[in-house]
Amino acid sequence: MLPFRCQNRAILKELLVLIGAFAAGTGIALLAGAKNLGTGLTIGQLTFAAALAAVLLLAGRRRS
Amino acid sequence: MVPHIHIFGITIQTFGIFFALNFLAWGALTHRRLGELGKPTEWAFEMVVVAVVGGLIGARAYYLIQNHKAISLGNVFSGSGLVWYGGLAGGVVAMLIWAHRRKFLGWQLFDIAAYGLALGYAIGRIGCQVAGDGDYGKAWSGPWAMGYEKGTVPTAPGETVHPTPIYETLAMGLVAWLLWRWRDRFRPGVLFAFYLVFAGIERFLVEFLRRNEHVLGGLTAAQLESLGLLVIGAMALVFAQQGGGLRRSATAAANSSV
Repeated sequence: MLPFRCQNRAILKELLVLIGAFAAGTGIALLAGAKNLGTGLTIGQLTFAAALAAVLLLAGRRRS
Repeated sequence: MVPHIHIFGITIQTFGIFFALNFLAWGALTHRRLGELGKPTEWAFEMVVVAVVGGLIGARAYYLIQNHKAISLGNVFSGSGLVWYGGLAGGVVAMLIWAHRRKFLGWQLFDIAAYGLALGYAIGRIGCQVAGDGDYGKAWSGPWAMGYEKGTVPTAPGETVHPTPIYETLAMGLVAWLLWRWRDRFRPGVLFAFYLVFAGIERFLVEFLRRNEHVLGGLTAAQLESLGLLVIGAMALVFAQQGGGLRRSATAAANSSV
């Protein structure tokens, strides 16, 4: 088990990665000329899922 | 919306791509977890194949049961018409049979399914969004409202709706993340109970924004099914709490890999 403080930092980091991926995907789509915010959010949905898969599959591997 | 793409003259349904990705992601996650549990990691491949076959049969069968009046024998095997709860039921039955044969039938199996199902649902909903397959919400004209005029189930020209598949991906994606983080915290089976509660709440709430028909007391069929999941999950948590607590023992937690 990781110390409590380290765990909290890891949780925060992973949450930031997920939120950041969603925001970045949406923002880039809008900058690239997405038709509307809904279409931009669709790209954000894609980047969020990709980040989620990466976090679940890769995070904590070195510790295991 | 992009319901299908053409590659070298072959038409590929985008929903199918995300359907496949959902099982790939689940398989990869299961591979990792089986390794952590000291089980053969090649079981992940078997589990995915069994879940795909059982899930597809269940999802299709449930759709046919729901729409039996409008369906002829000729379109029983057509490409459209899959229902999530049918897929869940079919996948569970197939997995139970597989686990029984592998002597892996126990709460650990259900826990592996918990984050896998949440992750798969989150990825699968991208397919619904990209294909515009009718899983979107009611008419709405808010800031991120959008139309699905080129979807497989198109919205009326000029009509905009709630893009509910996006909400579902975000909600269930966070549930998958939370359950994965909790995988060594609770006694076997508790994680699956949490999944039932979270999945039930998510679907119950999103249905208020979707266009499904009310069947009883102003609720849709999916809301009634979600309530069922929620009640079963909550009862399982109460029983687990009364029968020794939800958390794993300190010894078991110390022996865990994370």
